Amino acid sequence: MKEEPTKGVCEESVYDQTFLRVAPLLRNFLIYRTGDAGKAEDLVQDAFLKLWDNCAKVAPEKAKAFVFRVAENLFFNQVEHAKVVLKFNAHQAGISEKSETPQDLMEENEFREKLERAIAALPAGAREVFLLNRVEEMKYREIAELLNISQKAVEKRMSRALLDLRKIHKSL
Amino acid sequence: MEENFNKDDLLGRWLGGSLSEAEERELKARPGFAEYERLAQTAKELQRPAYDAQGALAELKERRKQLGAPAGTGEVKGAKVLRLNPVYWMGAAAAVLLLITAIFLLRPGVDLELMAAAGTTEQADLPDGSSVQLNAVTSFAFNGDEVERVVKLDGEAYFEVKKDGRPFTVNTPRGKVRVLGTSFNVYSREGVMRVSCSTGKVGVSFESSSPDAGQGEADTYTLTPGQSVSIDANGLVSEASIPDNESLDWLNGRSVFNARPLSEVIAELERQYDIEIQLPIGHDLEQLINTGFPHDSLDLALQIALLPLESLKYQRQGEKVTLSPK
Repeated sequence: MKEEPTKGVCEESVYDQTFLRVAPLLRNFLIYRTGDAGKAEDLVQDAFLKLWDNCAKVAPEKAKAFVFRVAENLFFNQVEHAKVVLKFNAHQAGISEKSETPQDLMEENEFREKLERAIAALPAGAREVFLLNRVEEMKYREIAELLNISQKAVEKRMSRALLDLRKIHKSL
Repeated sequence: MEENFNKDDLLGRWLGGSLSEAEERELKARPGFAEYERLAQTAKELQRPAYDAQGALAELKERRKQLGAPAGTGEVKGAKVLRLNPVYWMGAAAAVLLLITAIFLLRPGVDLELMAAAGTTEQADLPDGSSVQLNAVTSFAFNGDEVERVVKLDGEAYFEVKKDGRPFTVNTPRGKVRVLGTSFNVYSREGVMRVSCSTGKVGVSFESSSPDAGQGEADTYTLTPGQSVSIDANGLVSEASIPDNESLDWLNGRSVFNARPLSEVIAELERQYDIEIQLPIGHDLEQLINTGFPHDSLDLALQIALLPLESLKYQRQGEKVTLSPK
């Protein structure tokens, strides 16, 4: 693989690979930020169309950062979705532990539902950082890189998220 | 106590794994830490919403083809494909469903008639300013005149009655509830009637249980908040203090049963999810169990509700659920 200038993003296979690798995270990130799955998926499409248009100028290893930036710019001017709707899959309760009673499981279920509502009520910045770390299992360093903020800022937003979550969760 | 956590960003650094041992010890010793731990842990178990990346890629390629943009031309403005937001569809579907399930019929002597089908609940404001919520599989009729307000109820409903000088009466096959202004829950199904008081005062009288018990006024029970009274199919009356979280369980999207017969649990599952449950022939339906289930996930509900029945397992095919010995 010495000189293969065509192995860029304009190459269908590279483009497809990039999409399959990056789109799921981008889409989840956009859901976390906008609270609107339909809009998030539209934005993913728009961002990747832009990538196709610019495939000659974007190196494959920069493609991820490119689509994240484009997607952010695309929704930057839009008003934030009035009502944040975050829908997670119904969690399948592990029934393996014999000691758990229906009351316990219901309590857990309710705790989780309240948590989901509390997360939806968080400010966007705290919410996206919290979910990228908890659900997407990203390290603070990775989040900082992705959002182009300092690691310190990630720590602050995580603290904010936890403090607010506890308060909101309690009030529900 | 909150300030304990507000002062620094130990919480954030804790989840980032950058605390020193001493800091971690300090954090864990703070009051309220257990709650943060549980929140953080539970959030980890949230499952991301499913995404069909392959499908999205196919759609993307379709759009690229429609736009006819050759790779790398750099100037095409992403013409947006108009898509009907599924939320709108669901809204429209819900509106139609509401029209079907909430049938407002004007008949002489009936101001408002309402029905909630299996798997649905309904809410309505009554002409007198009171409001009612109907649990699944419930029929309801309201009529008001100069002297009284009368409801006919079959099923389960929660009332918030506005005081306006006229008594408000709920008639069920098993008895009546009389109030002036208060909130209360009435359960009336299959010979069982149970009334629970949330606020104010509620008067309850049951139809005399056996024909030879004489006619006339049956005993009247007066309930204050937190109290409930019930009559079972055999005419046995019992009074109890039932916390709101049990009597008003369904308003919070769940059902709770404390020492209730299995038959009631099964029937409520069927009503909430519009399903049919088949039990092994001869299974004891009268056994009393403590259980409960949420109203928003059928499989979860079945798993949780059937936990105390250790000898049974369930199989589901669409709307048919079969319980069989393990």
